[in-house]
Amino acid sequence: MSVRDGLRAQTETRPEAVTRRGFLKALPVGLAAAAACSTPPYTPSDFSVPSSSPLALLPADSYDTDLADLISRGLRMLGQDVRGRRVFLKPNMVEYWPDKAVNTDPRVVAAAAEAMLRAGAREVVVGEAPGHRRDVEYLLEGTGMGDVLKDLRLRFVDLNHDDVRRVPLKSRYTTMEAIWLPVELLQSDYIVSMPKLKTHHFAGLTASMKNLFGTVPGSVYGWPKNVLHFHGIEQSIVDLAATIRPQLAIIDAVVGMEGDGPIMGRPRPVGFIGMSTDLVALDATCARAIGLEPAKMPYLSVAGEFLGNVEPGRIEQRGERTDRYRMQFDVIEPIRRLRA
Amino acid sequence: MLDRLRQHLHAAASAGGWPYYAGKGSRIEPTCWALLALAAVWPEDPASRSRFARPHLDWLAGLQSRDGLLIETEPAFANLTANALAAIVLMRLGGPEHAAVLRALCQGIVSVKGVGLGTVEGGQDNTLQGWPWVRDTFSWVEPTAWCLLALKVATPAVPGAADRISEAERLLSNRVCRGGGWNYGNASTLGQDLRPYVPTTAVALLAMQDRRTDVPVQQSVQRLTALRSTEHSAVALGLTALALRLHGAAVDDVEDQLAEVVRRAEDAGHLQAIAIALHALSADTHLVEMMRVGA
Repeated sequence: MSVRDGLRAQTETRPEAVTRRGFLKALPVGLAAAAACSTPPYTPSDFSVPSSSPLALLPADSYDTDLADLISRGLRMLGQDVRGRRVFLKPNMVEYWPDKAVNTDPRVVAAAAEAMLRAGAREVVVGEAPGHRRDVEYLLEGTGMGDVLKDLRLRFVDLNHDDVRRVPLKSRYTTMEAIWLPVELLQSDYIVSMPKLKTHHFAGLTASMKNLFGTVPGSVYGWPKNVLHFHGIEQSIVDLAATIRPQLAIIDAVVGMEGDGPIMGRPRPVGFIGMSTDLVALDATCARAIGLEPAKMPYLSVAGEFLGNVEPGRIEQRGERTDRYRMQFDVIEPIRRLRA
Repeated sequence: MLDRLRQHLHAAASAGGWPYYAGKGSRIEPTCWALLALAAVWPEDPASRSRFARPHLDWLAGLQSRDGLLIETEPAFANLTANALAAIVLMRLGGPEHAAVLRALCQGIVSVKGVGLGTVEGGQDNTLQGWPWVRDTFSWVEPTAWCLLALKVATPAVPGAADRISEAERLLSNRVCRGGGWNYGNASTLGQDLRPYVPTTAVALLAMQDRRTDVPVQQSVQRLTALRSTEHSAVALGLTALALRLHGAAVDDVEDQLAEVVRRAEDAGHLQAIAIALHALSADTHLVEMMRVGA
């Protein structure tokens, strides 16, 4: 995405096609050349892509399913040990529209918290830096998340307004050297990205990697994290995922959003909870499930070079097969080119 | 209740400033709201109010960088909303010792413009430049509104402010949602109308309080009046009460609801929300003079 396109994207008026070449074009000449040739904008020794990434797709036709049991099973399938850990759950709670499937359902968040506590987590904290709304009290009340957290006596952290610390970026596709992140997030030793499965009118898909935009404090970067838009949404997705490195992702794909996501689309039942320790693998699998081709999505293909696995042959399905959930999400015209 | 809220803020004050949430580090925006709220209902003589405010104003002044703006993190990320509020607070509560800081701060605000795109898309005029959240990004409603208000309440007028005020007013009028009110960004996107946000609409109306006869402003007052009970939070109700009061509308029911929900902000230790609520709930006595254009 060029700087001009980046600016255009900020206005949210016209999504632009982003190719892998366009992705790299946003870098200064030296870095772009390096990224396209042999020296990428990260230190290769900082990363190691596993030969195979475990992933669990767990059937959930409705939110009345015993989701805590389901997620507990997922933790065991993935061999996760959270005993004694301070777990940070990062759901997507960007906006509140009563008739739209915008946010991670509070019941999924509650279930994840219960599963973590049952598995021996020392503490579970829930936090979000909503990208549109500053007023988290309104969002917590409107979405029902506040009641859920109160029932479970879980603490919520408003990441937009937390104390912040400057953290060097582990990859620099944005060309930024560092990012300010909330201290509460950095103090956690087990971070879980908990997105809603949605289309995204710029990036194609919003899942566990894009969800990390919601860790970036608006009090530093503004709403909707405008500085990141300026540096390229897809580049920012990669740099955030490379830097924050969540230990786990749990995606709410019980009901997703198709059409003009991530806010204005329509609810679409999908029927699973997806879990993986590899965010790239989970996002690539979700893309395939809704009829998008990961190889056509620059942020996924670039992430597949150093952050995780994109190829199906390197993703070890420990729950249901992706084929069971395969469907074609409706997408708006500018991202139709991402279809498989 | 006002005493309780006041005590809450007093108890959370550090040697300099207030955090957004109790127990955290001081930040510009909640410090400004706490000072506005406490100063407006100060029970004692003005001298004791000045003594109380002084270390907090000094803390704000100490954040000033060479370009005049107050910096919490690094110069590239000076928050223009927070800076505009700081300017208002220094104008209303600062002493002669803060005059140079205030002058430089206002100049810093005038010098920053949102990036213009030179296009008109779907009725949105992207050639208009208001204020961004942070420099070198697009103009958004909230920072534009706060910076606009700061320049309007400044006396004497800030050099270079007149053109910025005029353009910012045109930008806000251009971004009004269909039927009135403001979303945080555009009025529509990808051909779909966006709905107005209550707090954003309230902030924009604070800035447009002297444009009451403008049709977009009148529509937005009506829209905010209609939506005033739809967002149940201390911030939304508090800002709504302040804005509607400045536009001469009745706010009794808004204040009643605010009094009911403010306990939630207290439980969360959300000091900025508590300060906004205190300022709104005590407005019978101070009449929002500190945010009044021409006061």
